[in-house]
Amino acid sequence: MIPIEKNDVDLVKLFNWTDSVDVLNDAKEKIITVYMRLIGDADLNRSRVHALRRSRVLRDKLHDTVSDEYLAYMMDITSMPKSKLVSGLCILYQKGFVEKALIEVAGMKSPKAPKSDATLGEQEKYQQEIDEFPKKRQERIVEIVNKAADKKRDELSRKPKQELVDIYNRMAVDYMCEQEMVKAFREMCTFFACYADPNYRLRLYSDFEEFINTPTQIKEQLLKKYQEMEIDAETLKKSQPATP
Amino acid sequence: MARELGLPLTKKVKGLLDIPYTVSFVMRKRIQIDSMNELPKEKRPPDKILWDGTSEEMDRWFEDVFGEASSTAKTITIDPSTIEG
Repeated sequence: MIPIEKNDVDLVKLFNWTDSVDVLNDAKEKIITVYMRLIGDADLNRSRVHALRRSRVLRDKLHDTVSDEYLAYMMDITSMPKSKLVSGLCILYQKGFVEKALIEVAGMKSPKAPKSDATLGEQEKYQQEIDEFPKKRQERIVEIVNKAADKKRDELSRKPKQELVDIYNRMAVDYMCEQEMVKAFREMCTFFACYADPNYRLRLYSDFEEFINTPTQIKEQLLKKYQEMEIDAETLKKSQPATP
Repeated sequence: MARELGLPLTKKVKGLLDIPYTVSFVMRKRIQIDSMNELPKEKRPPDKILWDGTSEEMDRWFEDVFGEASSTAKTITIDPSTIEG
């Protein structure tokens, strides 16, 4: 969790959960106005379940050597030089390194707030320390990630090539399934978020199939708008009602 | 609900289903933090668990904090011969 800095807490976005978007055609002319709102817990959970199912389906296909997905996405890496294989694996491991680093830096102590009767100088000093803290935290993350990457590179270099190929295939499947899961989740959330009326009573789409069959150009505009309305988890944690 | 929680909501919310997940998250977190604040400071879970931990980590924390107290509970044995009357 990023340390909470009370001065950059913005409560306004929390209460702006509805908006409209004018969907445009190629000629930048308005086709329709779509009313969008952030979805509730129930729809969020439905989206999560849908995303997990889609990810599962893709995983099965990627393990099936005669499926179209296997032939399209699974690269034959057996002839790849070992050094390139190690580099490719290090890239796939990167996300995990960052996640571990974030957990590690969560223990970094943020500057101690001055007493309520602190002098102006003390308050300035505290604010300066707070302003510099994200940079220090970032540097620490980079340091941890680089150290972990070097260690992993050494470890992988000592493994036989066939083992590296197996690891690569497993990680590539995991990566593609994760991408599929995120895509499916975003699509389902956006489907639930779209309304045809400003009172948010008439759904724009009668079913998910209809949304999926919408031309990509329109769908992308809706997906983009919904993403703009969302608040990421770290920002949410800074929301004042949630902070002690 | 807004009155009970002491949280501001808007007229845009007509029912529970209208509450966006973001507001719902903030409300649940606020309630959780208020509950934790009722505990003595040393028994509250650390921020790392409170904000980023899993529910299993939270359970483990409480088992460690409160489980120990129950296992070291004092037992009183009464010797019937010492009872008067």
